[in-house]
Amino acid sequence: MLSDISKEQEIVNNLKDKFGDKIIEAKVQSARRVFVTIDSKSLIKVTKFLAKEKNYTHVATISGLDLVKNLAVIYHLREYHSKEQFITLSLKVEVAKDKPKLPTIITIIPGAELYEREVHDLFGIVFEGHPDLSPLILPEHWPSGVYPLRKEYKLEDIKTKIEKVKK
Amino acid sequence: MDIIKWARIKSPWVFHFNAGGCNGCDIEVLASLIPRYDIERFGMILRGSPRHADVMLLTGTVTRQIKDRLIRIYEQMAEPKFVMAIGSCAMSGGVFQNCYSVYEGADKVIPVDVYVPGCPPRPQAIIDGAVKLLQKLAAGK
Ligand code: SF4
Repeated sequence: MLSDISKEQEIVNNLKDKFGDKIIEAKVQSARRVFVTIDSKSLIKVTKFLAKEKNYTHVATISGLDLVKNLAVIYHLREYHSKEQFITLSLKVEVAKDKPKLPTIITIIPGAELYEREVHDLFGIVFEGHPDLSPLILPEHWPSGVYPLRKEYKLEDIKTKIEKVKK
Repeated sequence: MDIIKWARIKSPWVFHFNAGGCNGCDIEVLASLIPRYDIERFGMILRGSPRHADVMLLTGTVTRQIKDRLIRIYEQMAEPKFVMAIGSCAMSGGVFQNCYSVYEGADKVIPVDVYVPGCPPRPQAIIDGAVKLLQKLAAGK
């Protein structure tokens, strides 16, 4: 059972057939684990396809990633239809660091709302169309424009900036 | 021994405050309050409100978000008041040290009287810390 990855292969093939070169990379990592990298412009289309037609309606979490030149966002989506097998599909998009903007997916998967706010807090990625991007987990009086999980922020810089805001 | 000091040493009422830890220390604090360890033999009982307590059992890392609330709660305690910092987090930030949103120890924010090391400390260690606090009081602070 564990070595049977036909379902995983099927979703990868479906995505490749439908979106062609918009899919930068798609691979089956292991049983129940699929990694897909896509062009950020087709994020909405791919998510819609996965949610509406393939039942990937649950977002387990959204993680951010600092690739030094670019930022990446990974949506960990899970399907909910078959009882025996849940595939987790990690959908990765990259955005430029100087213009970190992505469309929100909460119109398709409402559960993404808080995760998007968290990624906005920690990485400064703006999700266009999100109703409320106010700080969720950062402390009060946090200096604006400081995104603690980005590589260019050192602990000392953050501390001096916090001190400045207090005064 | 004057009577106020005698009363103080015989009934140090405690209350428990988690400033942002992982709950490991909190479970040990609760364990040390159960009849098995019988902390009441030192006159200690758990109070629900800081206004009724003499000793704050502080666990967990003090985060930047909780700092103002912690100070407010500390100020609500009646004088004389004492603080026991329980666990490495409350002592120094513990595993969360050098994180952008925590303080390196509760003593950066409020005065601390007794430190109990451990991650989490055993109930015996917490009781030992309490006894050390009582000895400190008996010696006249
Ligand atoms: S000292 Fe250890 S057990 Fe206690 S709150 Fe910190 S991490 Fe948790």
